Amino acid sequence: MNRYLKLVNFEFNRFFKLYVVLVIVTIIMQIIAVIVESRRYMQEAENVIYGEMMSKADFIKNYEAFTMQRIVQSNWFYWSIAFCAVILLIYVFFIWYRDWLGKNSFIYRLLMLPTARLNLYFAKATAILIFVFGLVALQLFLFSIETQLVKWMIPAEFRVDLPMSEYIRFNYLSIILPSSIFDFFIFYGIGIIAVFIMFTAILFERCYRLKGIIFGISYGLVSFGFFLMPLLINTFVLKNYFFPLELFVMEVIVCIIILLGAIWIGNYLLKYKIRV
Amino acid sequence: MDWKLFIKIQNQGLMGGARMKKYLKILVVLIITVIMIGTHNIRTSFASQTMPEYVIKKISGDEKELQDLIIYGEYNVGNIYHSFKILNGKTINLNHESIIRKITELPSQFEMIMEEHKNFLRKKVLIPENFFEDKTWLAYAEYQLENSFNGMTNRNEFLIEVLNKETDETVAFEVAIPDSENYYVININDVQLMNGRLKVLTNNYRGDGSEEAHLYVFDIKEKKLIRDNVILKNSEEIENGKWTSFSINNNSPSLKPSEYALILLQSVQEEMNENTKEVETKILASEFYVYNFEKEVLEKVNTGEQGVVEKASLHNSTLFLQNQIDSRLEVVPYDIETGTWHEKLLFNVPQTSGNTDNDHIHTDPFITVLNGKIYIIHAIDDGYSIFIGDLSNGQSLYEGKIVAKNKKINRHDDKTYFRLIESKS
Repeated sequence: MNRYLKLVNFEFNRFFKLYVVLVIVTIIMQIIAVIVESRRYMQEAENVIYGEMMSKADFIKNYEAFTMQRIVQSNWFYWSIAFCAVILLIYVFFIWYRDWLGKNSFIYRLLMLPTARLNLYFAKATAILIFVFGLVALQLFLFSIETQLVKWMIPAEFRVDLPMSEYIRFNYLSIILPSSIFDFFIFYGIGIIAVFIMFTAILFERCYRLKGIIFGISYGLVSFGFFLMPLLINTFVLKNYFFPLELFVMEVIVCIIILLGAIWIGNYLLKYKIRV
Repeated sequence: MDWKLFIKIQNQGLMGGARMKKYLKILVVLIITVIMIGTHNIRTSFASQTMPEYVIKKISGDEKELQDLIIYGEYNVGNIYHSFKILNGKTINLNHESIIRKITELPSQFEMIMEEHKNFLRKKVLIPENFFEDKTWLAYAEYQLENSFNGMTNRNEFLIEVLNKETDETVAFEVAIPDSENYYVININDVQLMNGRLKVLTNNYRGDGSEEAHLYVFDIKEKKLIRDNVILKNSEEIENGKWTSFSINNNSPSLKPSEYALILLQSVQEEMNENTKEVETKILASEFYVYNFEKEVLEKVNTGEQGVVEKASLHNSTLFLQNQIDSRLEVVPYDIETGTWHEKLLFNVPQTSGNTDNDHIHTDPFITVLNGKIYIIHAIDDGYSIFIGDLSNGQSLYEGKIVAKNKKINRHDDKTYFRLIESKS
């Protein structure tokens, strides 16, 4: 356990500098989003109110009041989220490959540590999860900052202060921050399983190199196929024999099997097949 | 003190400090993450947030009328919409329900059957129109229409399944209908089982836009179709925004046995209102027919004295015609068995409420008839009034007020629409 925690800390610190950069870029992009959207709205309001001699009340009626919805749907905001997602996705691969590609094969030292090699696997996965949840937390924190900024930039009569749950519904944010806790566990549970599958696929490549790429991709496809299996069989073979609730329970069981499979295969590869 | 020991202790302290420092970054990130996500989840789980809570305050009548009554509605501010239901004094925000919950929730009519005859419901489309249930029987009919482009797999058949609840025996069969190629959609409106015959009332649509009402009669023992009666035809097509259509039992789908079906034939004129730029529909004429499942005859209800009737509903063997005249709702009961009209029942339903602007949806009252009772919800100055009346004598069973409590967004242009009332039992 202690060794595992040390490894987690080690992995965390290795990415920390880049992570801080990622956090800063996100903050900057989102604040730009707030400023750009707020100014654009106020500019429009000014043009219409002074240019077309429309009263404030009529303007709000015709053009809608300013809400956080405008900000989260803006390009700057969207790309800040996409940027984080892409960087973390790349890091899922890089967290393994840096050990091989770095100077004097660092993986050699890691594999020689007097601890189960599976700890390495778990430590890397844990680090990824911490980074993901850290960014989710950052987003929650940024929402409160952004709401405050909007309050400063847009006069009260032009805006409606929505609760957070309102502007994260109906768009991509509802996947990152679902409105029900149950969904939160389901979404992130599936995400965690996907990370484990990718890890095991990477290990396939690291063990068998060129051939391993094919193994890795086929392994990923098999896992995905296994995940879809209950749904496909129910639809095409059994003609909707099962009720949705029963299918859900089956999916949960299938997901647990896939997760255990990924860990078991990963462990086997690390223990017996890994090449330095 | 021994110097060596001192240095050792100091070093240890130093090392301990260094270790803490080593973990500082990850600990800070972890603590912030846990606090932020934790409080977020607690916040979303506790409050329904934007949605107010609806409280029904009794003015007169019996609270029991509200028991197991599900009132569905929509809450809207600006471009925010929330669906909710009110059940036994609780407001449930349907938007905050888990996706899994939404997928796995059963229509309320099927909850009991799911517990007792789970296997019967397998491989079936769970809509009340396709089912029939009485003390001993549970029946299902489905029309399957599959036309592949190459014509290789044509499936045009009824799937029939009947369960005897006492003996636990099921009879299932598939029957193709002879002239199926004439129709491109066949909708099932009602299923009745009587004397070993399964009677399926359908709406058949032809390719040219005309509609037909059919009664398909199946013999359960012989496992075959014995009759296909065309009950009603409607051949008129759309012309200058004028069209006719008919609907069967449209406002109260149920599994329960019923002797009659109500068929409403309406001609409607669609017109563009020049002022509001909205399409308005005007009912030009409406005809009511009552279909007797037992005798298999269609009877036209002579509504001559009643003028143009907007809505009608059926409860047992009584037909209720509804008409809104100014601020009153007229309900005229018609006894199908004796063919007589009963005395008009009058209910107070103001069309517009004082403080609202010209938003017509907001002020439209919600009226529905369910199990021989009429439910009327309309906007009043400080909320909504709810009225439950007994249609057998026109008397009030319950009167109350629906008040929105704990409004989270203080805007005055928020609206609540009520759209459906269901009884859980």
